Amino acid sequence: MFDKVLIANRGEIALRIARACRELGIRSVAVYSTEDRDSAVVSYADEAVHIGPAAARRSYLRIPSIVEAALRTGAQAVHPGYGFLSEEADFAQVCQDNDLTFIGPAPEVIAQLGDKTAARDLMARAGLPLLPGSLEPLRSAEEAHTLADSIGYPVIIKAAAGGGGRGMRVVERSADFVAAYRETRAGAKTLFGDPRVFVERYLASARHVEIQVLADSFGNVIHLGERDCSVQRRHQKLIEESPAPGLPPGLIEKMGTAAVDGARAAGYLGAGTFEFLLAPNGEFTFMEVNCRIQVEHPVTEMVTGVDLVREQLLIAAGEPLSLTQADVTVRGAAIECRVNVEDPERAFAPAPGLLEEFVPPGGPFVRVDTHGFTGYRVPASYDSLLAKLLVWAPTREQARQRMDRALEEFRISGPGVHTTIDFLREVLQDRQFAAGEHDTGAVERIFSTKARADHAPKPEE
Amino acid sequence: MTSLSSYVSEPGASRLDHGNGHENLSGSPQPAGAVAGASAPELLEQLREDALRFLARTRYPPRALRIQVGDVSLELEWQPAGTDSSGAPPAEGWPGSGTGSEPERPDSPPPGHSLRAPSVGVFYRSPAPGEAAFVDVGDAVRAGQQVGIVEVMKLMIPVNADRDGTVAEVLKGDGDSVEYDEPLITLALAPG
Repeated sequence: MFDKVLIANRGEIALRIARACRELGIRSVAVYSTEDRDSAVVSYADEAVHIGPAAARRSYLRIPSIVEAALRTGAQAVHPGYGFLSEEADFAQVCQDNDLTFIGPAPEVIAQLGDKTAARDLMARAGLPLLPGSLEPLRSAEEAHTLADSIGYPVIIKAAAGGGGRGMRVVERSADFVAAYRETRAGAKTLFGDPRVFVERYLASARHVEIQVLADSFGNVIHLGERDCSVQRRHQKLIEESPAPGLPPGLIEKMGTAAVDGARAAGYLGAGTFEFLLAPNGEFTFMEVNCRIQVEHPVTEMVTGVDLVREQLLIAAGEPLSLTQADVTVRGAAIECRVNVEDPERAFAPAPGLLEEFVPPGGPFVRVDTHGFTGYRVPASYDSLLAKLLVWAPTREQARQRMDRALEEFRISGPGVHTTIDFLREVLQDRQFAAGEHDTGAVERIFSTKARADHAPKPEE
Repeated sequence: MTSLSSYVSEPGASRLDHGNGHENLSGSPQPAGAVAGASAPELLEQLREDALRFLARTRYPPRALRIQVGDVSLELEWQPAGTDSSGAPPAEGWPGSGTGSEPERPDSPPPGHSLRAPSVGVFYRSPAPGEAAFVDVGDAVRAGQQVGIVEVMKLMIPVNADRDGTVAEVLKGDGDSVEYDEPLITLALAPG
């Protein structure tokens, strides 16, 4: 087992990783930017290194600084968390070149799965079902247009180097295709430095169901069930749950097997997530692989009792998985709500600031993963996720009510600070969500219904 | 030579001329208590030790102190009188300043202008191993002048002075690990 691990991340996930390290007797090293000097992980970790100013590209994304900090502190391994460098094949390679264990798959696996076109091609050959779309890089707008016409509209154009809901555009009609293709390419070049895109049929009302896998260096690959992440706003997840409600029996076993097959085909190592789209007719198709621990990983932890970050550390240290597929049991229901410092009344504009009050909920089967605390100043330089609130209960309906209870207890306030807590409660109370019949269009629908209600003429007082 | 103890005093209270803040400690060729037949360097060494004891009891750090034995002298100087009799507090860390006997905490940079690490990495004081340091204490530097290197993964990042000044202190040694923004060198800034 490692003596010392450097955590190449910040915020709640850095603290999560530091806790897993502490439980395994591993010394943790936090890295921080100037703006994060008062962050929770900086005082929690065994050591901390100031690596740069606020800007992520000069701190959390600056590979030489991170690797230097690891070498100077004598860390044997680096945990990249999610986002930042977690899916940068270059970073994994530099770690390897410097005898640092990168906690995740090999650089070439990250590179292949990070190229969404190459990943689609690999998974198609591994036998996973895919939506009709391109399997090779598109060479021209005309070629793409012809393909789109043959797939049938609507189609979605996605950046090959993208992922996580970024750099995508839906095209409803053939006449709009070429302009959208060019715009998506330009956006991809700006966002990811790579203009290549691919085209896929678009399912307007579908469910986003993902499978958690674990793979060790002994050839053991297992899945730990699914997470339904359909509650999204602009492709960013807000609420996740497990099990996915209302699925036909046997479907998860099929999807789990597909994910395991895909992980083997890719030579995967560590914790990974296979994302699928579930069509209304019950068919599932492969979307992408996320080669990292995910934000919503605690949902799986709550229903399986497996500590996924701990498993990552064990796998990276060359140990076998703690459990076999037969040991995996999914029990009860878990829901996660992402509490962001955003103002839903102003189109979810970021609303960070000093947390004069930060009182998380508690009680039975409530878990809060957060770096927040009373007196913490939420920086404006990074993403708006402040806390992940999770509940478990024996049934989905009980979990839904427990989550509402917990959200209602969660007190976060400060000058100029807004959170999405009230909006999350509205989604939880939505009739479709409560019935488990919602899909990826749910948030837009709830929001536009609410907007119409807010703007409706008020009755005379 | 008259015992140095008779000269221990606040600046301004000395019997000697201090109009320009200059105290001249000189005396007979043989200081009291000196071993008969001692050589000039030995006498100077004795005087140096006396001077150190003397200085430890003064309130303000001197700009100059000149000790002469025959042809051998040792000289230090005070700031001009206007400065140290103006009531300005004694410099932190000066032994006689009465601010306490604890040494300066390593995490509080000394007064003066700090030149800080542009990156996490390893600090080098010279362009290459074995070569002379870019700067040493007492050197004058101009804005833009290189005073060190921080190495990050084989990438050598120059550390440059951003102001004119004099190197007052070098806080990190050659080969030390440094964090981003950590003070490396303290400059006493040029007046004005």
